[in-house]
Amino acid sequence: MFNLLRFEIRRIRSNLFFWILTLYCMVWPVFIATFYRLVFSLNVTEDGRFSFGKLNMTGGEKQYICWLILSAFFAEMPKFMALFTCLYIGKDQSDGFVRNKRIAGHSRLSVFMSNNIAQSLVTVFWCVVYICFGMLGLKINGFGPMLNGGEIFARLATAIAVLLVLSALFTSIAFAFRNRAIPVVLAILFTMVISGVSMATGMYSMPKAASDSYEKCFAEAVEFRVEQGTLTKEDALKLKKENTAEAARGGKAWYVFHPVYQATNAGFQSDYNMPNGLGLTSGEMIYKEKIDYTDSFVMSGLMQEVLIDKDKVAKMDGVSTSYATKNLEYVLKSVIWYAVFTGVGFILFKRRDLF
Amino acid sequence: MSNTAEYMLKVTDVCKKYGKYEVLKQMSFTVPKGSIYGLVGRNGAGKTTIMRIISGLQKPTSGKVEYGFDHKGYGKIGALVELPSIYSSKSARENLIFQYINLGLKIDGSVDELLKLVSLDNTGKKKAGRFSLGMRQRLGIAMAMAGNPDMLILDEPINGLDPQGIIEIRDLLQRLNREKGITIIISSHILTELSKLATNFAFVEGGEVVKEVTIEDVENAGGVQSEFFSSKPQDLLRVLKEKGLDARIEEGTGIIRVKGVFNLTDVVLEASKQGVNIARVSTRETDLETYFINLVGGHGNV
Repeated sequence: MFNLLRFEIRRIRSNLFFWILTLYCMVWPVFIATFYRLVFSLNVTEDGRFSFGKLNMTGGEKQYICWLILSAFFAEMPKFMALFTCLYIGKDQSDGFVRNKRIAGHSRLSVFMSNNIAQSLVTVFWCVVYICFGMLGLKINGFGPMLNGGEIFARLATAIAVLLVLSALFTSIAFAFRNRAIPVVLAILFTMVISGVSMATGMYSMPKAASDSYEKCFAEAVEFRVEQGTLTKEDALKLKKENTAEAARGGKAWYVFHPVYQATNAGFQSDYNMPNGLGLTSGEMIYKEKIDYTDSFVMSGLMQEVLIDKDKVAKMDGVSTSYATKNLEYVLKSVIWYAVFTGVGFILFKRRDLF
Repeated sequence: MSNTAEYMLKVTDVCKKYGKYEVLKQMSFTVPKGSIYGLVGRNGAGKTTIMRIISGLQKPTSGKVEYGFDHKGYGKIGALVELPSIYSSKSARENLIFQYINLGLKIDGSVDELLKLVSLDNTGKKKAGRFSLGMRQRLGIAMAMAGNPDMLILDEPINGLDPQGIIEIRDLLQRLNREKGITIIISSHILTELSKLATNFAFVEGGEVVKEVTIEDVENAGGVQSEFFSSKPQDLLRVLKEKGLDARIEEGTGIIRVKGVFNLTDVVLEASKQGVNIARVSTRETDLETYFINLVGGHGNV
C-alpha cells in the first residue's frame, strides 16, 4: 500500500493537469480579491467619470468578503476534482497500469485505497493552496484577512471534509468503468445534480422544533392582539390557519427534502451562507455567527403585522444553531458518506474483471 | 503451498463464464518448473483468459489455480497480457521507474540495464505513445521482467516485432530461462517461433486443453505428412485407403491428409486408373503447426 501511495504521489507530481489546476488555485483567489477591491473602491464622479478611491467598508463587511473569497473553493473545486480524478484514474485503466499493479502482487484493496487516499490528498492540497493564496489576496487588497479569531478555519475545514466525500464519490465512479469518457460525464453530471439537490434541500433546512416554536409564538402574539381588541377573532383564526408550523417549514415538500438535508451534506451551502453572490446583490454582507431561522420568519412579513418580538422568537427552542455544532454534524456526516462511497466503490471494483 | 513442488503452476478444472457463455470449460494443465510452456490455440480458444486468471486479473468461475512457489509478495510474477501496460505519456525509462516503485524496488542501475536488454536504451525522452508496436512490446517485456520474477506470463509477446526483434526476444527469453531459471508461459500465433522457444506445449481448443506434450513428443511424432487436393475427395480417399495409407479427410475443405512415406507414383497411377483426378499434392515434415492441425483439425486461425 505504501509503495502504491508513493507511486501515486510521484505520478500526480508529474501530471501537467494537476499543476495547471494548482496554478488556478493560486491565481484565482488573488484575482477575485483584487476584483472585489476594485469594485468596492470604485467611485463615479458627477460628470460620469470613474475613479478608484479608498476602500470604504465596515469590519463586518470585510469579514464577509474574507469568508466569501476563502470559501469560494467549495463551489469551484467539484468540477475540477471530477475532471482530474476521472481522467487520472481513467488513464491508469486505459493504459493498463492498474493491471500491472495487480500482477505485481498488490491487492485490489491496496490499488483502490491508494488512489482514494491520493485523490483525497489532492483535494486537501488544492483547498489549502486556495485558502493560502486567498489570504494573500485579501492581505494585499486591504481586506485583512479577518479570520474571526481563527473560527473561520473551523468552517473551512468542514467545507474541505464535505468536499472529500465528493472525492471518494468520483474515485468510485472512475474505478467502476474502464472507459475514460463515461466517468468524466457521470462525475460532471453528479456535480450538477448535487448542486441542484443542495439548492432544493437548503430551502427545507428548518428543524421541526423551530417551526413549532414559531407557530406557538405567532399564536400567542395573535391572541394578545385579540385581547387588546386590535384584531377580530375571525381574523385571528384566519391568520393562525395561514401561519402553521408546516407553512413556516415550507409546506409538504419539507417531508421529502428535510430528511435528505439531515442525512446528507446537501444543505451545507445554504447553512454556511456559501458564496453565491446573493449576499452581495441583496446588500446583506454579514458573516453570520450562528444559523438563525428567525430571518425566515421575518421574511414572511406577517411577524410585523402581528408584532412578534424577533428576539423572543430567536431565544426559543431549535430556532438557532451554533456553527460549532453544525461543523461537528457535517464532519460526522462526511466521515460516514466517505466510508459509504469508498465501500461501494471498492465492491464494484472488486467484482470487475481487469482487462 | 510447498516450495518443493515439481510444478510451477497447476491449473485444475478451471471454468470461466460470462453470463451463459462459457469461455473456459474445465481447463487443466501443469507447468513444470523451469520450463518454457507454450499455449497453442485458435483465436477465442481461451488462452488469454487463462493467462489473465493466472496473473490475478480475473477470477475463475470455478476450479483451482495452484502455484508451486511462493507467489505472494511483490514481483513474483511478471506478465504481459495482450497489450503492454505502459503509460503512453511517459518515456521508456519513466515507465520502468514507475514499475520499480510499483514493485517496491530500489531505483538503481538495473533500470538502464533492463532498457539495454530490450534495446530501448537510446529512446531518451521519447514518449511511449509514439513508440512503434515492436518497441511497445519490448517495453512491456522489460516491465514484466522488472524485479526478476519467478514466472513470466507472456501473451503474444512477439506480435509486431520485426524479424531481428523476434530473434532478440527469443534469445532473451531463452537466456532468462536458462540462466535465471525463470519459468515462462507463452502464447503466440507464430507457431514456428514458438516451436523454437518452448519446451512444453498445451493445445487449447474450445476452452479446454486437449493435449499436453513436450517438444520431444512433437519431434517424435515426426514423419511426413502429405496433403491431397482433388475435385472428388471422397473417391480419392477410398483409393488411398485401398492402398493401405493412413488417410483422413478434412471436413469442409475436402483436403485429404496422409501420414507417413509412400510411393506417390503408385497412388497417382491407381487414382488415374479409377478415374479420380489429383489436382495437387504437397508434402512436408511434421512440425508444431502440423501437429496442431492434426490434433484439432482444420486450417483454423491459430
